[in-house]
Amino acid sequence: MAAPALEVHARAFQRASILDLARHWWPVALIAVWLLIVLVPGLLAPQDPLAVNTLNILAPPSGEHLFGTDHAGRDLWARCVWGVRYSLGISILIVVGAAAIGTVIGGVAGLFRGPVDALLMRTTDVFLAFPYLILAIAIASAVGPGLTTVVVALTAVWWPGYARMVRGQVLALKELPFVEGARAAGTSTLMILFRHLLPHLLPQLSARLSMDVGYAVLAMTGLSFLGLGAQPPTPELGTIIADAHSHLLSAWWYTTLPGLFVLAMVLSSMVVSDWLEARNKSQFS
Amino acid sequence: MTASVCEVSDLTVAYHSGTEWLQAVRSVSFEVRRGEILAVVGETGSGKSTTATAVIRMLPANGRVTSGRVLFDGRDLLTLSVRDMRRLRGQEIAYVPQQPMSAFNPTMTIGRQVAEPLVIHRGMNERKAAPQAAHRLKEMGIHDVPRVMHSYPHQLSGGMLQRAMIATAMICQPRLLILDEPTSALDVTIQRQILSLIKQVQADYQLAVILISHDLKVVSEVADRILVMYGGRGVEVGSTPDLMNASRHPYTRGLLRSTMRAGLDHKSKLASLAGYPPNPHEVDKEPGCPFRPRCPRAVAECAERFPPGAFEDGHGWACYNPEPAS
Repeated sequence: MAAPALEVHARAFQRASILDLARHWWPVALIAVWLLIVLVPGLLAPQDPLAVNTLNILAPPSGEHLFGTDHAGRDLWARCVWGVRYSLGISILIVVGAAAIGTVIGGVAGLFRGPVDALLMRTTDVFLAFPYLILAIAIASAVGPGLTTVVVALTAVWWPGYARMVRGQVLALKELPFVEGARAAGTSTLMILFRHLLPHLLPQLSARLSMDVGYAVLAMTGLSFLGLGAQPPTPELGTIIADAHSHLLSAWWYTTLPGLFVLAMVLSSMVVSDWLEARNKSQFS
Repeated sequence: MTASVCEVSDLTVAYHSGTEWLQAVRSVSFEVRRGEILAVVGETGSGKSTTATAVIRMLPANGRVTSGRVLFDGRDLLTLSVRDMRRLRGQEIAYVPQQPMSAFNPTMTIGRQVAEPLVIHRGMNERKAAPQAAHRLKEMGIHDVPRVMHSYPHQLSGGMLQRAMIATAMICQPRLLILDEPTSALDVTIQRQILSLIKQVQADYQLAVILISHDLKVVSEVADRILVMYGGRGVEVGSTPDLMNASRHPYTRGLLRSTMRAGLDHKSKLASLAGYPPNPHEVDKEPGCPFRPRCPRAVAECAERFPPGAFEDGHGWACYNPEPAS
């Protein structure tokens, strides 16, 4: 019977208290630092990331310019920090949006079954069949490259994964007796999904979400590097690295430091996701 | 006599199993009146729970009502739109599923779940609905209401949860309450308390109650009338005294003989029904009485056709060779 596992599950929700945060301070701190950079980049990098100074181009790291300057004499530290805002911030938006779309579609498919399920899941398969790079190139050739292109292309290929995951979970969850209880109270199917089943999906959703943010950062900077995403002078990390790669031999910091930023973002996302998954596991078994 | 709240006539329900349709309930008819508890009694597989879920149209996906009518207030529930049916559930007709322990969502507090019908049907927000939920819980005999309101299901006992379950069912003041085995998962002392709670709620609100149970003895303490089911058929129906003291169907008699009663000493042997409960795959094809293979009074006719009901002052039985009236 499923009851014991669910009891533990319920306890997980109660334990999300201040004490819990104290015990797991480091992943929380990690998330906080990144979010701080995304929300107020000016706090860490007071310099203007767009201010050109042609007298001081490709200057190596120094006390004045922590990360040196780029080929237009702009402060690289400021550009990297603002780059996090674009790369990470937009990646989070993409993944959250994709998860929301996928949850609704997968949840509805799992709860209604029948022709609705078939229609939604075959549509999902069609989207799943598209490589995001091809889709981005197609959109870019239609409306031109830019951040919108990246957001549309990545969201379009990202939601099907969530739809499949949520559908599978809902299929299992909806057989639990409390769903029958809710139905007997007159609760509608959509209300059952959002009110009763969503809390049960959160552990898996959160672990996947945090991991996907890392993948989205990679995909997004990759698209920008190829010139399909953010356009110069926007300080997006992929764009910065694309600008820098012709100076690879003369200015090591110009490619390396923004690259390390990307690495740090992706690693953080994996670490947080691992932590969430371990946490779920310890509470589910 | 007061008007009937719910009238089920000729209800037949079939389940799709593998390649064939099996009839779990066959031509069952009964009615429940205002201010009355009707107990539906039968062993596992007799079709009693299926009957209840068919009434509120919550059969599993492989179940179909193949014939019959369920009149509630003169409206046939079986032809109502999904939306209208949903409006009735929890508001006019309340259903308490089996197993209170798992019928609550483990991720939500009891208070929110008790208040849920108000949020759904009356458009209240949760904060506004909470005092009413608290009031209902208190009415159901829960003393430390604030603690229970903020508890999660795993923190409460089975009896407590069953009380909360009934509070949820009663919160919109329905007219028909259907309880599926409300006491089976509880221990004996709690059973007694829950039954008297049901009786009290029923009397206070002049409810019509359908009480599903496998325990004839237990329900006889609260039920006004009893319907006995066997193999998907209704075999006997009547007032509780009629059934307990003057039952005519051999199955009802057999059930009564096999229960504990005062005056038995350690030497007396409890009677038991010979044979086994019917196999749903076979009883389905049975043209005659499903009880025939186990029946001590079976006659030749029993194998041919299910006996028509005989009635005497509201006491009805379906048998060709009934026990003599005592």
